[in-house]
Amino acid sequence: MTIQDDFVAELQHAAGQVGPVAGLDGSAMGRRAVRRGRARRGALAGAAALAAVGAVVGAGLLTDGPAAISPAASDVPEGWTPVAVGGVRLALPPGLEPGADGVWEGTQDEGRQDFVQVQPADDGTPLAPPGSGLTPAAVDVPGAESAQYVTETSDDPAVAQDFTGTLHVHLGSGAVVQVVVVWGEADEGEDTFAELVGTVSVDDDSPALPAPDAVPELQPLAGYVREVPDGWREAELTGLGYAFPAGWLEDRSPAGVFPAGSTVRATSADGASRLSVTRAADSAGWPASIAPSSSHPASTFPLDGADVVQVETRTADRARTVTAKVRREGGRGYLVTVETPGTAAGRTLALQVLGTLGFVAGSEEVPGPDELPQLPTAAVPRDWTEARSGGLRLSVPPAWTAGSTAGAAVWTSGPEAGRAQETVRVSRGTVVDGVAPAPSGYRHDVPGADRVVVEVGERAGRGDAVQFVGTVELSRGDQMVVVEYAGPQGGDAGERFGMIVRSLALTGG
Amino acid sequence: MTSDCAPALLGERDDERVRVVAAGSTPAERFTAFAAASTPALSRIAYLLCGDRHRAGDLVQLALERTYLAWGRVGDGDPFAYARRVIATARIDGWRRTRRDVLSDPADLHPAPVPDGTRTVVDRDALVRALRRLPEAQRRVVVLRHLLDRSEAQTADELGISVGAVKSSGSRGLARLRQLLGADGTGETTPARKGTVR
Repeated sequence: MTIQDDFVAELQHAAGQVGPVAGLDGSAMGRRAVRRGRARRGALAGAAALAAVGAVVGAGLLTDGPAAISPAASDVPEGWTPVAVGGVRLALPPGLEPGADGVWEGTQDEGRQDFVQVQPADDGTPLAPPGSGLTPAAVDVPGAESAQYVTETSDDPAVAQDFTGTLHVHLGSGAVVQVVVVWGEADEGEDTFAELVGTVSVDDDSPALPAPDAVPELQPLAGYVREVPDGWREAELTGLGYAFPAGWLEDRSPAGVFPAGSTVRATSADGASRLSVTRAADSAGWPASIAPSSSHPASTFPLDGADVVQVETRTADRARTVTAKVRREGGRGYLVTVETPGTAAGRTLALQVLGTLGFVAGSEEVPGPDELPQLPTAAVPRDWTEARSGGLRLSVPPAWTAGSTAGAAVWTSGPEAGRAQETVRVSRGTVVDGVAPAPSGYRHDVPGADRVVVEVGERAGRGDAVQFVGTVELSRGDQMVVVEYAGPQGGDAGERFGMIVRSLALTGG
Repeated sequence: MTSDCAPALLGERDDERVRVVAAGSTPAERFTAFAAASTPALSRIAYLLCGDRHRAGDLVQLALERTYLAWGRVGDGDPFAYARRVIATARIDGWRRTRRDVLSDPADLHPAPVPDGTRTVVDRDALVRALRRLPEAQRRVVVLRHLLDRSEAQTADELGISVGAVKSSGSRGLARLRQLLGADGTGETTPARKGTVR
């Protein structure tokens, strides 16, 4: 028996309209999970999990026998990147990017993704599980007590044709480090593994890796250097200093329209790279540390005065997006997003931009409600139409269409020549548990309202379009009204929003 | 965002998900078949929880990887429940990656205005947006307990919290949703309606 009211029924009906996320290939995701599971098996804790994965491996692998690998060489192949982590030093082939702790990944291609992983393997799990048919072979790793490896090529249709090479390095301390290479193309994978093993040596000074199932910690951002490159243009957004290459086009239009504006952007001349800096309205609620998930790695870098510095990187469709979340201790928070091509040069560029970040005056304190800047507004044109929604009065341009949806009143612009569609949405509710919106954004008085919170921002529109979005939260007693305006970014949307805001008034109930 | 979602699965509920029958000759084949069949339903749950299709994809991938690692224990039982639990207890909120990733054109989100002003029921996009404004703990409970219609005990078990916490978080979450969605749809706020027993 379920107690349920009409509202819950409505919610369930709405949830029933939510379809699965398009574009997810369950089979490919499953194969990826299997490959990752295979790579992790050497470090799995627990006999049950080991038995399960060992059975999978044993059932589907050809036992080619180890390929011949020459003793370890100290030279780093041309174009490879040396790294030191988890007790070993090795070199990584080109095209891999840092992922979760100890993982470097290539770009996904038809569900396949080449990767190299270094992890502890101290639980006694054998390199070749019983029944797998695998035969370990010894290899010389400088500094190690001993080292063995196995190579596998799958003929399991569930995991597709790919290559896995696993190296166990036994250290003098008794610890075992596992290096895994998983490659989508078997021959190339075998060559890559052979070359990579030749670069492995013991490095007692390398940073430790967490246990595979431990909660991952934010790792230092590799390659970060605090400096402003020569010739770069320096700028500031209300307390955060940043810089970008000379020749980039800066767009301060949101901040231009709204002096305390929340976002500024800069774009490279060829449009291939972009930077946006946004002052986060909700930064006070950020936890001091958000542990990254294994599928969502994050890192950090030293930033004077900060209590939150977290960086996420996403590479997709040959483009890289690096997002840094930084907050001044006790002060303001910012989101910095750098979009670049998914190349090594793009990564370097993103790191350079992050290296320019620094707090300046204005970041120390979040302004109180009376210290917020006044929202700039303009007079309401005489030909606008007055409208009402419950106790709210507002004006909208002539010929806009009134309607409603999801318990909200909506006004939508018509096919006005040369203008993209604009909407105004008004919804009502109650202030739950007396918690009114925190002051942020702009100050503006609305007749009849006890408290007014005005914020401006942007969001994605169709294609590459960006929309201007302004919201006003009005509260009186325990009643609240939220007004949201959305219009085309870059035009006079900000001015339009200001006119609408000026027209607002709370009248009777 | 939601415009990229497939057409609605009308009436599909968590308890009506496709059950994967044993198929394939190897555990990996059986797991991959499970992944293929379960990803749509898992992604739907993930999307309700996080409101971000990229994040939802990450969550599903994470759930599949954890489920595969536990396949020896759960493969012959209820692997879907295991995967759902991974999603429900994972860190569901990342932060905004790019402006294109997170928010959508209101024209995509709003059904066509109703000229005569008559009310419509809560639409899916408004629901997803409203859910995103709930604290994570409340959101998890609302999605599992109320949207997926799990019992209080099941919800508590899956989230690893007490039944009392389910009650309180669910109550507060629903109250907040009522506020955000203007539950009566007329522009006038009304007290929460009392429950009925069905």
